Amino acid sequence: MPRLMVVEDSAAMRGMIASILGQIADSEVVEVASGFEALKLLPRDVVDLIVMDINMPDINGLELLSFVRKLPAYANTPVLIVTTERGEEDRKRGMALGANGYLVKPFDPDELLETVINLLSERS
Amino acid sequence: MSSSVFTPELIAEAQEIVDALNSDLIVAESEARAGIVDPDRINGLFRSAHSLKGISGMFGLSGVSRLAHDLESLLDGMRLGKVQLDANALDVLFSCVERFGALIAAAAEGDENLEVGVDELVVRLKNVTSGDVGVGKTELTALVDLSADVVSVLTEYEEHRLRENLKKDRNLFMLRSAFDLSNFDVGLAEIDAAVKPLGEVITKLPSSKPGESGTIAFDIIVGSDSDAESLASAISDDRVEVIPIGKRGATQRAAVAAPVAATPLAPSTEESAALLTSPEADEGATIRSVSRTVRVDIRRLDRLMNLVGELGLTRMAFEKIGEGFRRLQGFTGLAAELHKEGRNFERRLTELQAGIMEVRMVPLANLFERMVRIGRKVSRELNREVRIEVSGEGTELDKLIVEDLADPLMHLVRNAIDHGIEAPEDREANGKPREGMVRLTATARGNHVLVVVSDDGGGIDVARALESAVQKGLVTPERAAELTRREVFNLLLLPGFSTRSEVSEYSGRGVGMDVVKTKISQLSGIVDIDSEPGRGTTVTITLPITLAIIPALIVIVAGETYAIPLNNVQETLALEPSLVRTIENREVISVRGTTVPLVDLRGIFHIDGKGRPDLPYGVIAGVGQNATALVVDELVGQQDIVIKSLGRRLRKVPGIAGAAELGNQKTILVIDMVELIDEMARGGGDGRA
Repeated sequence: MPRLMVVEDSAAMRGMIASILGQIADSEVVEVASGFEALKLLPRDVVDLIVMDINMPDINGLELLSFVRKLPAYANTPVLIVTTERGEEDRKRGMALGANGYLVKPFDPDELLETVINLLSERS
Repeated sequence: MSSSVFTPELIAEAQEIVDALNSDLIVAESEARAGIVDPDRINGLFRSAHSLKGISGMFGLSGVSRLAHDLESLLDGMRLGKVQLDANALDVLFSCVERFGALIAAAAEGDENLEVGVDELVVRLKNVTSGDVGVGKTELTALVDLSADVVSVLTEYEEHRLRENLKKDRNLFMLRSAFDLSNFDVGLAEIDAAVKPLGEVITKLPSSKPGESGTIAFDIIVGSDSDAESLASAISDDRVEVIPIGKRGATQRAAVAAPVAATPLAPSTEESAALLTSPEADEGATIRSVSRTVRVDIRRLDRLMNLVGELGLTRMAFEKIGEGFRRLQGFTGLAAELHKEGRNFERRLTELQAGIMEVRMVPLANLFERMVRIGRKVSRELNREVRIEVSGEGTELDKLIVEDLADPLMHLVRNAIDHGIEAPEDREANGKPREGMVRLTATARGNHVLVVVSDDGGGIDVARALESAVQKGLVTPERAAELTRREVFNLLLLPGFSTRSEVSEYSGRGVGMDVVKTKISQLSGIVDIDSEPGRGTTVTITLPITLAIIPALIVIVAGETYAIPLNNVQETLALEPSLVRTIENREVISVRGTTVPLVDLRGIFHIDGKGRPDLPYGVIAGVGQNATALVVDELVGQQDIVIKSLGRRLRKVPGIAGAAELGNQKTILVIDMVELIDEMARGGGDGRA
């Protein structure tokens, strides 16, 4: 039963991503609205995959990613960045920090689904 | 590519973002006037545009998405210092906000592909001149004492802010802080609040050195003109270490631990109060509340509210059954128990009702901001110089009332600027400041809220208004002579007082005022106008704070039961035959020196049958000159009712607000006193018995 976390500050977007991820068999989706919330939950939770936005208040996705990678339990957890096409620089940095995928908004819901399923199966 | 899953939540979120854009713009504008550019403000604007672009693109709002895309580019340039926020840019930005509002409203109506006006704005956005672009950047690691690790997680914007601070020769610091995992956001918000007056928080990095389990460390990068000591003492938290990392900071390399204040655990009340009320602290609060907010369609709350009302009716039905039991031998004990439990049930129900009511309440701030925006636009179009001041925007009202208030309020603001505020030259000639003033205020008064729109313009010419009213046959010349100033102003609220084609006739304040009056009446509110020639006009709207459940007076007229909303009722009294006099064929009574006309529903609703009883009651509604006494046969008592609208066929019956259900499964009519009094004023119904 994969546990998937969505970190996204827009409620509408978060809800949409969560409902797409919810189509994965037996999946359980944890929705958080900020990097802060993710920081609070991650050390106490076990999450199999994280989908995160970059442009968020407080701490950005890159900062969150860099921290996540330093937590031993999450050193290899698949992380998919979902953000707008702006900022090729951000994309490069994200991949350099150890993101496993990068999707540009607006994305095709099927593409998201496929990418996430692939990342999950690569891991297992 | 995009999905067309179209939800009210999406519309609500999009609208929220646009509202945030608008309020940030208003602040940015006043800051720009004062020569201040707050990077956080510009970044906030950028973030809003970015979010709007994200969701509109995803959900297929093509017009919004295209416009947001170019707006985002412009704001990105602005936050990176490539574009100036000048008057021209502000105008374009405000226009964008306005267009977004229209596009989102259209989308809410089902027209999600509307692109009206987008092209024009896209061109205007692109024409906002860009300034010099920074070239030849030195590696940041060479300038500040930061590892490549840290630099790699900074976004382009954060990097830019870091360079800007260096350019301004500010000191750069790293605040190394360790917090409990459970409440680090509170700690960070406190640091934000403490640092903001002294400088800028550039970024917060979850620390590269993982702390003990259960704790989390942050490296907060700060730019400031202050030195390490003053920064440390402003923060005064021993969990925070201030480490200089920038050029000027480098001369004082030694780390300074933030000294613990004399009373570390309990800061003085003034201090904590200041912390709580400072905008920075507020920001912290909103950050924390993000995840705890649930957005709910108001109709769901309506349904809950109706259920509560119906539960109340069920409870009354139980009570009736209990009373029946009490009369049966051997059941008195149980009946008493039932009664007691019934009371408990009612108390809980009242709490539940209050709880739901509270959820429906929203502050007027957003609405007022929208009005400021509209006011800006109107004054620009009409070449007036107008300042719009807002106060009491924190006052809360039922969400639905706030929504329905938008149109009438917009009308009043427009009117105030269009017909109230004089041209700058005329104002100067009259010894007034060139800049006119329109004030929007809201105040809570018990179960009511007063919303006041006032201006310091030319005011209303009583004589001419009266002349016009007589000409249009709204009032007889004889009656006109008797009217008080206030009554004359109220004539402006009558339909037909003035029409659009006569806008320029004279002060024109009657334009569409009847529409305002009708809208406000539908909200069970009252409109009152006051004006002084040369000094200005004040329009006061009195509104109930909610519409969902209202206390009502239950009365009987000619065998029929009616409900009269209590907020319309001033007092009730027994109509002794000796009190009633007849003046000009109209029945009147004297109440504390004021003559109050009597209205009998028998006449208005043409009820035949039973005549008036020997000792009827009078229900007095309306204030002052508007006071009217409704003749009723019996006063039954007070009860909370849920007003339901009548079917289409009966909706237009004047004087009837809707229907309500009583405990005994009986449906009764709810009387709209405001409308009834209007009918009387127009001579619609025959007041005689």
